[in-house]
Amino acid sequence: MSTRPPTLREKRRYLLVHIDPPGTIIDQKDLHYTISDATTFLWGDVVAAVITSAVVATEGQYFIIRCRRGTEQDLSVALSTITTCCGIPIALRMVAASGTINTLREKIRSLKTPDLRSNPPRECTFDKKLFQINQCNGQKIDVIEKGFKNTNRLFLTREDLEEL
Amino acid sequence: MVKSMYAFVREAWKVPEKSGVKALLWNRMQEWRREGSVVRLEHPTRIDRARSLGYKAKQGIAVARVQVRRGGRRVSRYVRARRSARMGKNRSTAGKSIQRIAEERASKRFPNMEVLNSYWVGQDGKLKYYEVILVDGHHPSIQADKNLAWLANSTHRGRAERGKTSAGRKGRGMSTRGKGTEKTRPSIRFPCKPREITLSSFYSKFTFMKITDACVYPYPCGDSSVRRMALEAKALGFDRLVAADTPSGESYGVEIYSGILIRETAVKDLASRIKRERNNAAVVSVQAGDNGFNRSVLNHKGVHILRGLHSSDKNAFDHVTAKIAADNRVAIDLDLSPLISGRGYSRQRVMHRYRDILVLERRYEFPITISSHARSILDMRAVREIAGLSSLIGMDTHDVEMAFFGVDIITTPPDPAVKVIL
Repeated sequence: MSTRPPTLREKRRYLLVHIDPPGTIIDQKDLHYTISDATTFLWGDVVAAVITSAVVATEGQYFIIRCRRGTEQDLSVALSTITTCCGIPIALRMVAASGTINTLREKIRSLKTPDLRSNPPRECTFDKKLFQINQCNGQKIDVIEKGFKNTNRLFLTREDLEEL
Repeated sequence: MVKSMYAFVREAWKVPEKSGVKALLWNRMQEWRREGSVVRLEHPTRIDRARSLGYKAKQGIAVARVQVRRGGRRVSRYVRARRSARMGKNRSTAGKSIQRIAEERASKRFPNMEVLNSYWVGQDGKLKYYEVILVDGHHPSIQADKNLAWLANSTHRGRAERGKTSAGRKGRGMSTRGKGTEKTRPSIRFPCKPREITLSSFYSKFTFMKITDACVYPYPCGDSSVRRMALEAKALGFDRLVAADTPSGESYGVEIYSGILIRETAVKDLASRIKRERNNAAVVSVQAGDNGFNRSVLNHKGVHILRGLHSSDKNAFDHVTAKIAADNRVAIDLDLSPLISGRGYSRQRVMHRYRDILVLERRYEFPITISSHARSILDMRAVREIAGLSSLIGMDTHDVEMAFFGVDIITTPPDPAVKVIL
């Protein structure tokens, strides 16, 4: 099939989204299915077919999602209804929208890298319980309770740990 | 200092009449006008000008001479009650310079190349001649040239057509900045951007009000500490949080209001509970029940917010309760968590209930608050996302803004109906 001339091609937009919590590993295909489900549940098959979302690229915690031009708002609303992906609790934070993937790749490069200079110890105590530090990014510290049962993940700050 | 050869060429082209360039051109014109409209050249005619515009004698760079008609556009005679001068036939000029037209024609002839720049080389009575410098950005020798490799970048595609060359920029009024360019920036077609009514532009009018998430549940109710929620809220665009069972304070520039949620209480116990909480200067919210319960709650002094109407009875909030809420300045909370996490019928039901509440709000104008009911930072949503979710239930930008400021409205004492001026 020959390539269509530019005026007849479908106009697209690309959304850059960031996955929270940091350190979550999500497969590109799994995320695509999650987004597709969320879009279909919220807008129905008709609008989902118009949006034609697809996960086109990934770089660490960032994903580039494609949609048809003019449907960015609808897709971003659908993205905000996503709470889990393959049973893992996540939140998708929209960072930017652009007409090219290249611009979003540059945007990823320009975004601030996590401050990992002063890592806290690997274990900590909070509310008289022992936790293992999972992620540390600037003021934000994510911890997982040590043990075999009820190993909850908590989202804390440095100040929370220093206080105790 | 000894003059370079280029300096002599430059001086000769500055005054063609005196230097003999004119005579040279007279001969050249006779040849050029017999040639095609776009002709590729071995060497530029004005080497000094070409080199100053970026030309280099290397692979991947080409020069083409383009001829374009002189004069303005031709418009058909408008023969309807006009004298000849007013028929609009003459003095109609294009908004694009002839040099730009020449660049575009050269660009079209060499599709693998981008126009770098162009310069005038001559004119006769009918035609103007320009030499256009073209560069193939993907040629290895250009890729290796640090001054020209940028042309391979896709952002520079179609320079001539988009008016990005020197002649194009000049024609678009981009050669000067500041005073006098009010109608040319950011673009000649959009002299000034139409101002969007954004949350920030609206918010600037109400600097004393703060964008508030009306209910979050930090640790131990949820899995995130109140400080972490404040940090996240700041990144998401909030100024204030109402945190359940947490003392008031400030963290990372985000104000934290203490929130008390009273639920599953009999009406007779409500008064004493509210009285007890009133001294704590907290935002007191009550979980909605049936219609009778809601009416008595709204009549209690000290209740700020009525929550959870989406999960209560269908007739729990009618026009009478709406009027009581408006009279007593009690806000009705719209919990967005069922919109975020719900699916199918349950979400449809919540949307329907919220639309119903908004119909009454437009009639009676009681305060509305929006809350995420987040138990984790992963449940929190950005201001923009909440505006998008609110649009699902028919809220426009103004409604969302007023809902964000709902906590301000209910916690600020009302203006007295009569002011005594001494």
